[in-house]
Amino acid sequence: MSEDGLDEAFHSADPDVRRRAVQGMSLRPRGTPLTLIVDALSDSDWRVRREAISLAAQSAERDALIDSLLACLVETDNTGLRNAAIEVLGMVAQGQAHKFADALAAAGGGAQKFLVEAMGKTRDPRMIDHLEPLVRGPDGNVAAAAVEALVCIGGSRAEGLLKERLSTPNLFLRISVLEGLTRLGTRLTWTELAPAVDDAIVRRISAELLGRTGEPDALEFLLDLAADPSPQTSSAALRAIAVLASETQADRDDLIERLSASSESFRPALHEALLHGDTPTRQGAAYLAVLCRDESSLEAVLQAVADDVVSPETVVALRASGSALIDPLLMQRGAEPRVWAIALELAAELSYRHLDEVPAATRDRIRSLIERDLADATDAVRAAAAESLLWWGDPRDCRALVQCLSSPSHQVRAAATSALEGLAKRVPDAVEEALHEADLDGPGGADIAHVLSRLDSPRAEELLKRGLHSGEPRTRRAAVQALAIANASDMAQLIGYAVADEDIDVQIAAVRSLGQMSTREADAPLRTALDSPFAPTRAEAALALGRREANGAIPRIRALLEDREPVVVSAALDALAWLGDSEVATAVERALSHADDEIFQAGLRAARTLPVRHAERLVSRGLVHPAWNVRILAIKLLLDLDTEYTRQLLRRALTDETDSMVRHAIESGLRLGA
Amino acid sequence: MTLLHDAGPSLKLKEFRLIRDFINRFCGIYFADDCAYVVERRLRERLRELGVEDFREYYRYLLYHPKAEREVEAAAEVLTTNETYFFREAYQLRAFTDEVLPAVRARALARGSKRLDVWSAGCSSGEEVFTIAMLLDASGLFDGWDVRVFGNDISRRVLSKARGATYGAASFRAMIPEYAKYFIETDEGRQVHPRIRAMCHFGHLNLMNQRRAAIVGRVDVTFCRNVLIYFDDASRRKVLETIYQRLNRGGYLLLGHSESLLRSSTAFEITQLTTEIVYRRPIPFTDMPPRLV
Repeated sequence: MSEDGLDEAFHSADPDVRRRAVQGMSLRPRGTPLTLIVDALSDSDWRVRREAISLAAQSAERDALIDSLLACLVETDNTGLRNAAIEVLGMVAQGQAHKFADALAAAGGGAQKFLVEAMGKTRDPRMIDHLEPLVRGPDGNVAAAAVEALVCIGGSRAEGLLKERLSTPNLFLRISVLEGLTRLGTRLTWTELAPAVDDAIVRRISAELLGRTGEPDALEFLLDLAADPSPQTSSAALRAIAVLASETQADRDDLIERLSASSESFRPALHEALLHGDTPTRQGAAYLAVLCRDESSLEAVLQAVADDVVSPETVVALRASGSALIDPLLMQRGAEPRVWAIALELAAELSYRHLDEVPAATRDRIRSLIERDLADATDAVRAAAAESLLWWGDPRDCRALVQCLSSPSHQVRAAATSALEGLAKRVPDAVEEALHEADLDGPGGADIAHVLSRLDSPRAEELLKRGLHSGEPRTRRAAVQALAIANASDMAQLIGYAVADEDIDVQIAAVRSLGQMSTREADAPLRTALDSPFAPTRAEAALALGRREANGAIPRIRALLEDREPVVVSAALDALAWLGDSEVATAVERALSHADDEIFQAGLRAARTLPVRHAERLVSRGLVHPAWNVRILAIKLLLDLDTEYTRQLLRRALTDETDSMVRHAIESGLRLGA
Repeated sequence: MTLLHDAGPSLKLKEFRLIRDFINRFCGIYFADDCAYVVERRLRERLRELGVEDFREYYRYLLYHPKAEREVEAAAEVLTTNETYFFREAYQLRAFTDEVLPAVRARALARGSKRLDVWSAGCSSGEEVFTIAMLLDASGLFDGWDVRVFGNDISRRVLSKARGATYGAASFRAMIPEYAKYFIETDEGRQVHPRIRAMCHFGHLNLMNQRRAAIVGRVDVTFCRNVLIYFDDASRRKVLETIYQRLNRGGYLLLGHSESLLRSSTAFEITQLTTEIVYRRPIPFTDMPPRLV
């Protein structure tokens, strides 16, 4: 649309036309005049205003825009414009604390709170100097806005100011402070929090903070909240109790006992949350139901496990349940198959772990259920039955488990493999016998190879050699990996054939396996693999030769630096660095100007092998790389070099770094070094 | 390897972020750092399948392997959450039946059409698609019309379940008894009635792939409930752009109860119904009857 067209559209009666006009203005080569931006920010339609916010953030007249918007905040009654102005200031007014200070001094209480809101949205810590007197000031509305602003800015100073206001007698302000600390993720001690939550209204919004104390004293309040008729309050309380239970260390048993005893109001809330809560609430409720050994919630807990919404802690707690849970678990026989699958597997494990406490009749029942369910129509049930044989399996089961290996279900095959691997340690002959006629060409060929690799016998080796001829690439790959363990020269030759396999994954497995074999016979096929048409195979071959210190391969690996595939170039550079190639420095220089992250990282790793002064200079280039993972590698290598200069570099990098994980890498590295 | 017992390589935080971002670029799903354990557990299945030893190697597989494209799809498949049930968020469905459907019907009739298209974007195992079809049937508003409900998902596994249309107890946790007539009892569970199934269609579609989304055609209503909550902001904006393009003018978008477009898109207008807020693709003034302009 032309400039005139845009202006005309901007004055259309149709809000959608105006919206698109404002969208189009961002493409104007000379920018949009300030007056037009402010007009758009005060449009009656929120969608136009939202587009205007994006437009304003790109304005070249930043200083004038900030002045104009600060004036709007003080003067306007147009709520839409005011909100839009706050948002724009939040985006563009970093480093302008002095302008806000001037505006605050000139504004009345009504306008001050809008200025304060915009200060918070800038997330600029320099604003805190001007917020501090306001959060302590007499105007409750402005103080509450200052609390909100401090939460937006965050950091330890903001958090400290909020904590200071926890004892305020102004209930409204105290609620703001508690909500703010909740959002900041602050952990208050019970001593800090208790005086602030002496009021029922305040407690309703403090569930998360109560949970985070990790102190059992908070439980009573939370149990009250769990029984609240509002589902939001009740759910928040349950989630908080789960956090409390998970973080309480010393008095945990006491806490669980108190939880278990509080059945009247607490249990119905728990049931409701397990059945109808959102995922985090179901997660918390499931954990609590397991801790309290609440049998009436068992089906719902197992359903949550089946839906994969429980935390690892809940699974650990379930598996740590005692033998008393076995009968209730077996009563789930008629439940949905996925629920029954988990019940069966858990009952099998618990009965095995508590063998002495389980009556013979129950043991027999479990055993017969497993046998029957091994042929169930549902994959989840078959997998559970197979997995249960990890504990209950004996030679009789080997054949049935091997049959499971031909299942098209990955889950069933994985469980059967795991059980057979366990049995291979206890009854290797029975496993070997059962595998003798196994179909290496079927979907479970690779799994059969895995189990065979656990059997150290000539017969198993023969079967694995048969696996090399399987029509299934996965089986050939697994056979290659298993046979490499033998590490004999005749094996190297057999595996060498697999370097010419038509499947790339078999090739890679062969190259990798050859690289791990100590026999010299492995070198020749590895050199051949450097010419593979598949890039990952060439890369693996270079790495394998590098690890094997095959210096004779240096010229051919150098040639791979010209490969068009980044995976090959980076592998070649790593290999040359390991081999101590005299020309690696030149390759490093090239790698450190390459756009591909992996090549750049290989360049950094190779640079680390150069003399210290040279290495310091080259590795430090990684500190300004746009990819966080590259910067982390550079940090690790610089910490490894550990010179005064590298420590200085890292301290300097810390001031500019914004990624929390990278900052943590520098901070913890420097701390350990010190 | 089951939900109770899974062992395998552990996922370091650095690897988690690399893999998480890779998957995010492909299908928009975003995992916060505290969900690393879910990614670790679910992707172990893929590592085992590929014979890959650890997550570092798996990441390189995703970057460089000739079969990487297929693998990222498989990874997305195991990582997506597929929990859903019939008549989820029933109060919103009531608003759909009582207020959205009459409006959509009137608009279709005004343009001389007796066709209704509804899209369930991210339909998982199909419960929502069939719920919509049952509501349309029960409303009686579209008897004799050409009604199509299309559901898409990125997971082939859940689509296969949707096509089977047979469900266990968990799918009926919010079932409304008067709709029981739309199911037939079978040995495997309750199966959706063939008449309802005939109205429903399913397809494998990545919502981030705008070009492929054209197969959805133009629709009158889009349900995208509890899908965008798994996406990051940028991906959410991209998906909303696709949904906007697929909606007829005046067509409705229904999000989950905790979701809002306020920060993600200005393209839709808000429509306040009696008890619900829904979004609508604006009708240009030129398309409106003169008295409304």
